[in-house]
This record gives sequence, C-alpha cells and structure tokens, in this order.
Amino acid sequence: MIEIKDNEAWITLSGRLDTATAPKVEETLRAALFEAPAVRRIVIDATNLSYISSSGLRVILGLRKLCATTEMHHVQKDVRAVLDLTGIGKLLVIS
Amino acid sequence: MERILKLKQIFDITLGVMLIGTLVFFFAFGSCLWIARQEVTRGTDEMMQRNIAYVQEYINGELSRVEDACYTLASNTFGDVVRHEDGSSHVAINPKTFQQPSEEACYEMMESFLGANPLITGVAVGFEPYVYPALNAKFGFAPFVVRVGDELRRYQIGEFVDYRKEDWYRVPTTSGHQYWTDPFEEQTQQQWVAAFTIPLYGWGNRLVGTMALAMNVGEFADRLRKASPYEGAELVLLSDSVDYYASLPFHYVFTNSHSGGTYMLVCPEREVMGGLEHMQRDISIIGLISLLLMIVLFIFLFRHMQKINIAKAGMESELTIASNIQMAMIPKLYPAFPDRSELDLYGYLRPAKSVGGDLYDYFIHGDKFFFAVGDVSGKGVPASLFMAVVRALFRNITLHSDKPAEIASALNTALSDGNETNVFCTMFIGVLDLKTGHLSYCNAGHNAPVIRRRDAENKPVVSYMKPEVNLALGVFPAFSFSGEETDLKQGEALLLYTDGVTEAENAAHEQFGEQAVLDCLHRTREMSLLTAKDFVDHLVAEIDQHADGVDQSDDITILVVEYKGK
Repeated sequence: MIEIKDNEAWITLSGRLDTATAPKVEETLRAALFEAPAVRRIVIDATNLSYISSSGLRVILGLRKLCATTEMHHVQKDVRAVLDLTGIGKLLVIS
Repeated sequence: MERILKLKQIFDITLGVMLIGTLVFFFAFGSCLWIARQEVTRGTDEMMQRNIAYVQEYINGELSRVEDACYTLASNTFGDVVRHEDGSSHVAINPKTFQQPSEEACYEMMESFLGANPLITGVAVGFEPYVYPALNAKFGFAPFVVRVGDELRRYQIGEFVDYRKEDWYRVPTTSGHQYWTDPFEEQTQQQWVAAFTIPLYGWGNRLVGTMALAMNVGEFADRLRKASPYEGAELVLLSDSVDYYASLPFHYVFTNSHSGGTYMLVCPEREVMGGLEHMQRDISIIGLISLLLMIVLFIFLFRHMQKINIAKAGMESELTIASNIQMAMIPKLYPAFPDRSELDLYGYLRPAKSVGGDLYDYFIHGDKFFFAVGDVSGKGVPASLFMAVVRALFRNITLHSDKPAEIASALNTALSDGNETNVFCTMFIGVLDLKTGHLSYCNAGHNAPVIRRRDAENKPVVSYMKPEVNLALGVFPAFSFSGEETDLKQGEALLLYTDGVTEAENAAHEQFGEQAVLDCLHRTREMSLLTAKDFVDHLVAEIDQHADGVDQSDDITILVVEYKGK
C-alpha cells in the first residue's frame, strides 16, 4: 500500500517481506515513486510486518537510497532485530 | 547421462501406468458390457414371456373352442361325453338310445355341423370295420367332410387309406382318450391343420371308432410370427412329441414349456443385443482412439522433456562447475598453517543451493592472522557472484591495511559503487596478532560471534560478543565504520557463523537458535571434543539432527579460531 501526498510517501507493509514477496513489493513501490520524484520523506507503517529477510532489507535500502528521510513506525521486535543486526536500522528513523 | 537414464525410467513407469490404465478401462468396459447383456437378456426374457402369454391365450382359446365343438357334436350324435378327473375323456355310446345312422345320414350330420362351425375346417369319423359291414369298403367306413372354399366335399377315407394306422385314429383308440394331433398338411386343401380326436366306445366298452375335428393352424403361425420381435428369428411352438436341444453359441435361446407344448425362440445374439453391440463397437473405437492419442501425446511430451532435460543437465553441469570454482575460493586444507602452533582453526561452508552467498576466508601476513565471515543477501547464483567479488576485494584490500574498520570501509566503498540492485553483504572482519593475541575486529552488520574466554581459574566461559553493529557492506558508500579491539589469552577462541546456523529450521519451523550454539559448546567440552574441527563437525551434526531431513533453506557457514598462544 502506498499513498503519496505533499512530497511524502506513506507506505504500509504487512505480512512477510521475503524472497517470495519482495520482488512484487519492490516493483509496486518503484512504479509509484517513479511518478513522484520529489518525495522528501518516506514513512513506512510496519505494524503488521511480521518478518523481513535480506531480500526485504534490499527493498528498504532501495527506499532509503531514494530518500534520506525514511522512517519506519511500529516496528515489531523480530523485524527490529534484523534491522539492528545488519546496521540498516541506523540509516532509518525507527519507532 | 544419468538424467537421461532417469527419464527412461519415467518413460517406463508412464508406459506401465498407461498400459494398466488401458487394461482397467477394458476390464471395466467388459464388466459393464456383461452386466448390460444380462439386463438386455432379462428384459428380452420378460418381453417373450408376455408375448407368449398373449399367443398362448389365443391358441388355447381356439383349441378349446374346437374341443367344445367336438364334445357338442359327439354328445348330440353319439352319446355321453365321459370326463375323468385327470382331464381325459371319451365318448360312451348308449346302445339303448343310440340309433346307428345311415352312411348318408352321417355325411349330412357332418355337413350341417361344418356349416354351423366356421372354425372347423373338416370333420372325420373313423369306424371300426364291424360297425358298417355292409359297405364292403377296402379299409372300413370313415366319412370325411372338408371345407374347400365355400363348398363342402365328401370323402370316404376308408376307400383308399388304412386310416386305422394313422395317428388321428390310432393314438386315441390306443390310449382310450382324446388327443390333439401334431399339425400336418391336409392334402385336399394344402393347408396346415391339427386335429382334435376323441375315441367312441359302445356297449361293454367296445371300441366303435374315433371322431376327429380339424382346424387350420396357419393362423397360429401368423400369431407366433408376430410375437417374435426379431427379424432373424421365429417363435415356434413345439409339440410334446418333439425333442429339442436349446443351446446354440452366439444365439439367444428362449424356451417356455407348457402342457400343450414348448414355445421356443432361437435368435442370433446380435439381433437381441443390437443396440448394445453398436455401443460396444463405438466405445471400443473411442477407447482405441483415446489410447492412440494418449500415446502420441505421451511421445510428444517425452521428446519435449528430453530436450528440456538435456538443457537442464547442461545448466546443472555449469552450476556444478560454478560451485567448484566458488568452493576453490575458500581455504579448505587442514591443518591450515602446519608451521604455526599459535592457532587451531577450522572452517565449514555448505550452501543451500549449488552455489551460495556465504563466505569465509583467512590467511596470515607476517604475524597477523586475517579472517572474515560474510553473508551476501539472497541466495543462489546472484549472491554467489557478489560473494566472489567480496572475496576478491577482501584479499586485495588486506594487502594495504591491517585495520578491520579500514578494510570494511574500503570494501563498502568498492561494493557500493554502482550497486543498483541493493545487494549487500554482512561481514565480520578480524585481525589477530599471533605474537600478542591482540585482536582487532569490525562487525559490518553481521551476527555477533561467540567468544570463549578463560576466567581467573582458567575455566572456559562462553558468551556472545556484543560488537558494535556498523552497517552491512555495499549499501551506503559514505558510512563510517568503527572497529573495536580486545586481547585473547591462550586457549581463548572465537566462533563465527552465519544466520544459516541459528535459523536452520525443522519441519515445525522451529529455529536452531542462538542458545543451542552455546549449549553445543558446553556439550563438546564435556565430550572432550577439543579441537576446532571436532567442535565444528559436532555442531553441524547437531544442526542436521535438528533439521531432521528438512531442506536446508540458507547457506551454513562456521569458522572457529582458537588462539593457542606463543
């Protein structure tokens, strides 16, 4: 789910973001963000994101490269652990 | 080649299944057909029963009309009809009241009777020779009146035939009661008739003669013909005196016996089973066509599979080569440094697929031992390509720097350059001074290693290190990596691994877990598995035991480094 307004992209991720789902998610986000190049802030709602694999991290990294201010809200414990372990959490604003 | 042989097995199995399927089809088809034939036969039997019941009713009705007429004529002319309980009957002439008619009177009586009974085609009375002695006929007096068209003709049978030897006279006079003759061709009219005969007895039970009424049974044949529903068969009525054998291959035979005879229908089976035989033929043809189509399709598919398989075999052999190349990048000879007593180490790498994205590496420059364990995001060929790049860069960069943070930084810059796919690599890089045991390391987003320390009493204490995480390599070129330092005492060791170890799952999706790694360390100590190799082998065995046959989902890499001291 992605919604773009006033140079901000609000993204909702849910379920598992792994090798099986990541390509589809990446394609969707890429297409949406391509049309709105002036995004200054990306906000990810991870309330229902239960699992993230290294393929999923690549998607997050792609977003982070697009926009320096990338936030992840309501991150679950397991997902948080993966973000911290790889250091990628440091690149994001996590809450 | 092995693949193609396997294909041959698939071919054999499929062919076998097809043959069995065909057999089952024909068996099922045959069974259905057999049941259907039983049903058709049963239905035909029922129909024949009904048809015969109609015909029988008609025939019996006609016969009993003739019999009644006969009894009426006999009682009017000669005397009482005596009926016995068993159904037999004869005519008893009362000599006191009976006036023997003249020959002419006989004919007239018979003519008037025929005139009144159109059903009857002829009447004959045969007398014993003694009854009309004056006539002086050759064989006796046997007046016979027959209907020929509209006129009635008189004959004296006794002038030219010994009627007393003919069935119509002989049988009732011998048996003493009434009798239906078999149908015979009546000469004057050239029509098929049957005659009802009854013996006449005089005073003292002396035989006087026989009276016979003939009826046309041609109508019976018509009725029987109509009762048979099949063109190639006729229903026949066999009299009791006819022997028959009711069995004929490929024929439907129906018999129905009554006191008056046996009804019998013999018919070629294909007429009775007409519809069924068409169905049988159609289904057989459809079955054969389907079978042929199946075989053609199967051969086509098999050819196609063969092509794919050859291509696949080619690809697999390429993957095998790639795997060999990748494994050749990883140091595997042990003892790794036979002339270095300061170290005991062992590395293990098992990819989940033919090629993988995990790596470990180590070497010695001077008195510095460089080592690293890395994990490229993703699996398979893409990860393995990235892994090869990481390993080459690592070897290159370490030529110029022995500081892990600098090495990580340089690797990160090189890998981030043009990394559009955002593939990244977590890595733990360490440099151990073999003289002093001084260890410097940098953790680039990798799992924290396990460290085995020695306490004041030289007892081993095992725990996870808590290194600074930094960031995985290849993500952001500008990231500043920071390294850490510690000192290893004699007998202290590091266990590095990738998440394929802790995240190895069993069928219930339970992960091996970090605690299990620590537990394993304790157990190996108790089991006196002291060398790095023994420990790694045991850990791998425990992981496999945990997975219990479930496919390995991620690459598994373990590197154990023990500092033995100077």
